[in-house]
Amino acid sequence: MHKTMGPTALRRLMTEYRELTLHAPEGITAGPTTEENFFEWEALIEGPQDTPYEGGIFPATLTFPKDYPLSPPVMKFTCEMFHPNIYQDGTVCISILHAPGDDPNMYESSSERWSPVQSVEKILLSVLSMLAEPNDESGANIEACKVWRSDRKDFDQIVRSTVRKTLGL
Amino acid sequence: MNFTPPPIPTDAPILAATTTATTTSSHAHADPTVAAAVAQPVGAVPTIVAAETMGTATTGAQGQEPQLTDEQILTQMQAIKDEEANLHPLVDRSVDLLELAQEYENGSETFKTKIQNLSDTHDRMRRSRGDGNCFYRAFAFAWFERVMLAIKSKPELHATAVRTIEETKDLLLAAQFELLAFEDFYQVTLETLQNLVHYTSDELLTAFQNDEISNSIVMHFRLVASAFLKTHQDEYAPFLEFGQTMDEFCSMHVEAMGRESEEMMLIALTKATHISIEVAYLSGNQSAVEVNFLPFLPDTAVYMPPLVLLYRPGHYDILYRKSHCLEGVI
Repeated sequence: MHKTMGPTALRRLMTEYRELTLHAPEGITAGPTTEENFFEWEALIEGPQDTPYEGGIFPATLTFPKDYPLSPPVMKFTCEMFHPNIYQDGTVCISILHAPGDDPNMYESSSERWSPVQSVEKILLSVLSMLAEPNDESGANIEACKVWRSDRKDFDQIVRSTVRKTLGL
Repeated sequence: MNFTPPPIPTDAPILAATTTATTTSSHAHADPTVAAAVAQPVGAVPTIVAAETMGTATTGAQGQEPQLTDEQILTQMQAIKDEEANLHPLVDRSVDLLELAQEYENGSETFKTKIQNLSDTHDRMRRSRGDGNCFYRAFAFAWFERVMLAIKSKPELHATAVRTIEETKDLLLAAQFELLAFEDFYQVTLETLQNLVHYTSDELLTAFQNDEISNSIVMHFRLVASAFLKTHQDEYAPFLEFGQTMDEFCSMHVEAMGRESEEMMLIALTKATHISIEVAYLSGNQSAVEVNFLPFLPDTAVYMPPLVLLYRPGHYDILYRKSHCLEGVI
């Protein structure tokens, strides 16, 4: 019998969870929502310094497919987010969450794509840099794209007000 | 925030949880369309695709899309994959080569003639599912089957194969892959190879039809091909187009499931595993009636007859050479 036979996905998610807990990158916490289901995670992301998101702590969910890591998870913020690459329902739209050949937003071919060599940690780090540097080439929230391009002060102000909301202020 | 993460699992509970988990087998394979739909944002196109394909479209008035949770979408995608899996196993039973000719009964004369000519030296073929992974899967199955069939007569083939797979770990580390990213695939591949000692042909086929095992093996060989290309950039980067770097090429075309392979991946895998391949090119080219064979050779000495793959535009299957054509070599 295969010693390792059984769900690759579960084994991998457990390894990733342990690694993330032992060596958590700054500004990121993530783990399964309950012990019963390793395929639903919750993450908390701190707004990067020197960005309008600074000071905020943003909760998000990660939903993993049964064939993870062959296919990527879906990531969704569960708080209000105003950002060019986040849909209004909170779904994050960045290249690392898409396998090559899947081009909903026509990412440039050189951008980082999903494959099993990626990980939850790499996704969350990409999301951190996405918060710091929106990509207005592949917009998910058109309104946020427009404001980000045309009036950065206004953009920062809207973001700061959502940040205050997530903190319950 | 009510976020209370469960305790950190240590090695022991992980193993326990892995062996006792009752997750149903997922018929996971990387059908590009399915992968695309899964990865897309919720509420947009994939919702409709999923619903329609499942025959459970609940789309109401125009512009109204059914509201599905991420969980429901993933479940539906899984059902689509399962349906596809029932139609074509990942690796099929071998069939008489002339069965292939029947596919072209009302079609191209050129194909029929070529298959007829091919049947002088080859008697059987085995299909690999056309999911973009067919080359890697066909390669792995053909190699492992060869080793299994020779387990008594040529046990050294098995020892060499085990050593070769063990060495791929060093190659992957040399190419800067993280252990976390490849160890599960590596383990499954090595264990399947070790199991060949007591496997029957049916058991080998069952293993390759199990998507957990089969896709892990495919993924391992994808990473091996990628690692070989990355560690031999000087030789292969000049063949890349549009100023692409080798890292970009590998992440776009080699490391992700379902991405089709081209000549460079065949060369890489041949050289990384020291296994020679011959590819029979069955094309509709009418200027020749013979099938062209293209050899892919390792840099090291060839120690067993080449694995033979059948290529039809866009797809690889396994071919079996008639035994009298192999006499004296194995």
